[in-house]
Amino acid sequence: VNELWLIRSPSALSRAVGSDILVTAPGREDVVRLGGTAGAVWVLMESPQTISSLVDALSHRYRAAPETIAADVERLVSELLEQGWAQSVADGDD
Amino acid sequence: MAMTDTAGLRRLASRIAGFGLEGWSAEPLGVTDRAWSPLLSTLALERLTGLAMAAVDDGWLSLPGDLAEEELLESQGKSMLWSLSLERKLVTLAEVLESARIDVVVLKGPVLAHTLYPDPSWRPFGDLDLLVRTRDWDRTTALLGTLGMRRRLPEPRPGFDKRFGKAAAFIDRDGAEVDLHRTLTPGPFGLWIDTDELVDRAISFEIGGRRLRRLDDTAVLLHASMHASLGWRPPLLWTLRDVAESARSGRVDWRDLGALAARWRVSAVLAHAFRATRSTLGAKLPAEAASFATATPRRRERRLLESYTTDRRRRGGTALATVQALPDLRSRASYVWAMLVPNREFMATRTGSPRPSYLRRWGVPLRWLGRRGSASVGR
Repeated sequence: VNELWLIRSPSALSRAVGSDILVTAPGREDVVRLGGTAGAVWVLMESPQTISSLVDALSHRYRAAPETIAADVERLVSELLEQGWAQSVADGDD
Repeated sequence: MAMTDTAGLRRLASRIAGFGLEGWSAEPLGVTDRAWSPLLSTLALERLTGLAMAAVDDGWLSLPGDLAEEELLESQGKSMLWSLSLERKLVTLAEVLESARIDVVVLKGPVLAHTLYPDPSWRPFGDLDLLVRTRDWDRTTALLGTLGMRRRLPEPRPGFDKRFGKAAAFIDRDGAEVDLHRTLTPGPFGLWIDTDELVDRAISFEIGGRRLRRLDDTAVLLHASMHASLGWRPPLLWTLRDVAESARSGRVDWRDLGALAARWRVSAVLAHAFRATRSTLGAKLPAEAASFATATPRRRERRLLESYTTDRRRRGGTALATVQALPDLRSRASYVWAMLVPNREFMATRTGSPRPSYLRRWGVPLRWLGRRGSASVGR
């Protein structure tokens, strides 16, 4: 996962509500609410990102040491991939 | 004047509806504790909670405390959940219709949210609007029925929809409404529009990874203007914002818009929408729109527009205008017959009574005749 370029699934439908993001997709009944860092990750993943680029952006935004947030970002991205809200792309140009 | 009266609330909501547009008043707006509760209801009804959230984030709009901000957030959250659930249905529905080889064009909410507004959360919507060709009307309504959608109001007379109707509303099991359109507006202006041409001109856009079809940007502005001018009186604020967003998209072919307006006799409708957008939202529209707003449309168009925008509407003015706009005596007679003597099922659903009164329905045309009679005697 660390080496992959990741992006939101094209089938995902989302809306911002304050700092949270609501996400769903056609054919699914569930709607997930991504708050705080998860919402920020979702916004960044509008264009292709790697785990490192996400960690860099978030550490800058929240003024936190990269090593403090890296594990959380990895866990979150793995979850987004598992649940089909995100997918990997060939490279950062997609 | 207290800001909690109807006019005061509309002024407040109008300023929020104009948020960020060129020409809008950037002087910060503070809402008092007293005005907040009715204003929130107005914002929800006028589908302006997304714009209000953006205005609060920007610092231009200040609410009376944290509780008010939480209430706005909650209201916006509800409308976004509903919009998302409609978008899910839209993708599924479009797939079914396309697989039946029905050309379907998505109108209004989802199109405007995704292709015109800076952020789709600024443009909530309450239902789905789909346009199909008249020749596909029967197949589409039948298909919606097989999907478990129930028609809200039956057809007044067999064949009425395809000859005179604008749209039919269908409800699914979750209460979601799909307005199936055959044209863009009820009455004469809707009859003069060439729906096949609109469908032929349609372009694609993407929702949920699916390519769907929508009106091209010039037709989007035409439709937004018709909706703003002819939909409600006074125009709903979000419909005026739609006009402003589509006019400033930079993608409108103004010469083409002028040609369509002339051919479909909607120049007065466009002028009315542009003037209302400018005066209500304080928005400065592109110079091309300003020239529409100042043009003097034909007298007949203006008269017909008045059947929607004045008190004549409440007295059956739109139906009367439709009669006058129909091309021949036979279609006029069919229309009048369907209006005066719709079938029992239509009447029962419309009135909510198993034994509906035709006499009450005939009250409006009888009053017309009464007035005409006394006018003749007076002469």
